[in-house]
Amino acid sequence: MSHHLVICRDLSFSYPDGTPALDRVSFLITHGESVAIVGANGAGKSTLLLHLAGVFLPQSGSVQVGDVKVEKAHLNEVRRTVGFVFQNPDDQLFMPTVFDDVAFGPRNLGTTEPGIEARVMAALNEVGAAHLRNRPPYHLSGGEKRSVSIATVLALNPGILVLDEPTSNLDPVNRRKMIRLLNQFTHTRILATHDLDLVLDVCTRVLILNQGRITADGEVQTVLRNKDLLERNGLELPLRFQN
Amino acid sequence: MAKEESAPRKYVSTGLISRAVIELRSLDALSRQSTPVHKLDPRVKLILVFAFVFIIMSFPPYALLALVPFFSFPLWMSTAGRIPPRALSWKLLMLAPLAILVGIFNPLLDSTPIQVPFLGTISGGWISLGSIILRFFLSASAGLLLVGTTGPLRISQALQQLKFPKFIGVVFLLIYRYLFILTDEFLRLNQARICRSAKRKAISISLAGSMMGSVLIRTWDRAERITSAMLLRGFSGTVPLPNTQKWTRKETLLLFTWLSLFILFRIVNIPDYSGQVFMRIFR
Ligand SMILES: Nc1ncnc2c1ncn2[C@@H]1O[C@H](COP(=O)(O)OP(=O)(O)O)[C@@H](O)[C@H]1O
Ligand SMILES: [Mg+2]
Repeated sequence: MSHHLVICRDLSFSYPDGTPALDRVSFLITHGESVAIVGANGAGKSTLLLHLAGVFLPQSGSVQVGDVKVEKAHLNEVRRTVGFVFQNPDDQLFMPTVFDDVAFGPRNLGTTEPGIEARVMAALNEVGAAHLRNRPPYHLSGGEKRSVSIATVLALNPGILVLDEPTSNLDPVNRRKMIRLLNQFTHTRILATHDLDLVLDVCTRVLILNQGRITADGEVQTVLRNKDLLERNGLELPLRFQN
Repeated sequence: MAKEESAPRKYVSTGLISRAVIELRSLDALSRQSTPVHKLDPRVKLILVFAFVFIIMSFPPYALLALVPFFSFPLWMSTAGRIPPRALSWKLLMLAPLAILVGIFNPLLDSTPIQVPFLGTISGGWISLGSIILRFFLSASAGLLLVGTTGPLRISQALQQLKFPKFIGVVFLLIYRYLFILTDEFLRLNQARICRSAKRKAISISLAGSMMGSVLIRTWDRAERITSAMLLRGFSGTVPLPNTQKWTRKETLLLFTWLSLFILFRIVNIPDYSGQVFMRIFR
C-alpha cells in the first residue's frame, strides 16, 4: 500500500537568512512504521517535519507523501494525509473552546454539523479529553493542551501523524500518558525528539540528524545502544542504558 | 546586570501596558458569558455599533453636551451584558493619548469664544478638544463592549454575513489573534526583565527599544507558525462556525429602538433642551 509512504530524496533547505538547515536528506518510511527523528538542538528536526507537512516546499530534492509529491498543486491532498502536531500547543489552539478547536478542521472540510459532533467527540475520546470540550484551550494545563492539540489533528483522520517534540515540557506523569497514547495509534508515526527513552517506548526505527544531515538510520535497539554514535551526534545514551 | 551610564535616563512604566494586556484577556473571557446581550444575533450589535460611531462622528466640532445622551448605549451594553466598567478602564486609558494627540493643537489654533450653558464662555479649541476626547471615549467603549459581548469569532462571522468582503472578517480575526500573541510575548519578556532587574520597575528607553524589536520578531515567528497550523487544518479564509444565531423579532425591535434613539439624540440636544426647560420653570 503506497498510500502512507513517506519518501524524501536528497532534500536540502536553507532558511531565507542563509542558515543551512537540511543537507541532502533521504529516507523511505513505509505504512504503519513508527519512526523517531533525533538530534541535538538545531539539528534540523523541526525543519524536516515541516517539509513532510508541506509547510515548507523543497528547495532541492523532493518529498513524497502517499502517492503525491509535496508541491504547491498537491498541498490539499498532502494536508489531508499528514496530521501535524506542533511543538507548542499554543501555536495550534486558537478557537474559543476545545470543541470548536477540534471541530475547526472538519468544518473547514465541509463536514456538516451532525457529523461534526461525532467526529469531534471521537477524537477527544481517543486522547482522553472528552471532559474538556467546553473549556477555553488557553486555560488548560500543559498536558491537557497537548492532548487536545493531538485531537485537533486526529479529527481530520490523517493516515500519517507527524509530531514535533511531543513530550517537551511535560511532567513525568503526563509524559507517560503521552507515551501510552502514542502507542495506541496505528497511524504511520514520525516524531522528532531528544527524549531517547520515549523513542525506546514508542518507535521501532531511528534517524539521527546532525547539522541537517542524516548520520544514522536503523533499528532502535541497535542505534540507541551505540554510545559512540550517539555522542558523536550530540546525544547521550538513554537513561535505562546508562550503567 | 544594570549597565551604568552617566547621562540621565528616561523611564517608561510598563505596568500600565501589562494591566491593559491582562484586561484584554479578561475581555475575552467575558465574551463567553451568557447574557441577553451576548445572546443577541451579532449582526444587530455590529450594525448598532457602526451606526453609533457614525452618528457620533457626524456631530459638528463643538458638540459637547449634545453627546452626553449617547452614554446610554455603552451603559446599556455594559450593564445588560455584565461587562464591568473596570474591564475597560485601562484599555481606554491606554488608547486615550491617541485622541489627545489628534486634538492637542486645537486650543492653540482656535480661540473662537463659545457660549456653553452652565460653564460660560470658553475658547472653541478647548471645546473641540473635549469633544474629540468624548467621542473617542464613546466609540472606543462601544467597540470594546462589542468585543466583550460577542467575541472575535462571532464578530468576524457577522461581518461575513453582512456581506462585507471576506478578507475583512479574516483580517479582523487575525489582528485580534495577533494582538494576543504580541501581548503574550511582551508579558513573557517583561517578566524576564523584571526578574533580572532587582527593584527598578521602570525601563530605560533604549532597553524598551530593543525589547520591542525582540517582541516583534518573536511575534512574527509565532504568527507564522499559527497561520501554518491553521492552513494545515484546511483554513481557507473563513472561520466556519455552526450558525446557531437567528434574527428574531427581538433583534428587529432592539435595532429600531436604538437607531431611533440615536437619531433623536442627534437631532435634539437633550441636555441643552432640558436645561432651558429647567430655567424656564424656575424663572
Ligand atoms: N525561521 C528561521 N530562520 C532562520 N534560521 C532558522 C529558522 N528556524 C530554524 N533555523 C535554523 O535552522 C537550523 C535547524 O533548526 P530546527 O529545524 O528548528 O532544529 P531542531 O528542531 O532540530 O532543534 C538551526 O540552525 C536553526 O537555528
Ligand atoms: Mg525543533
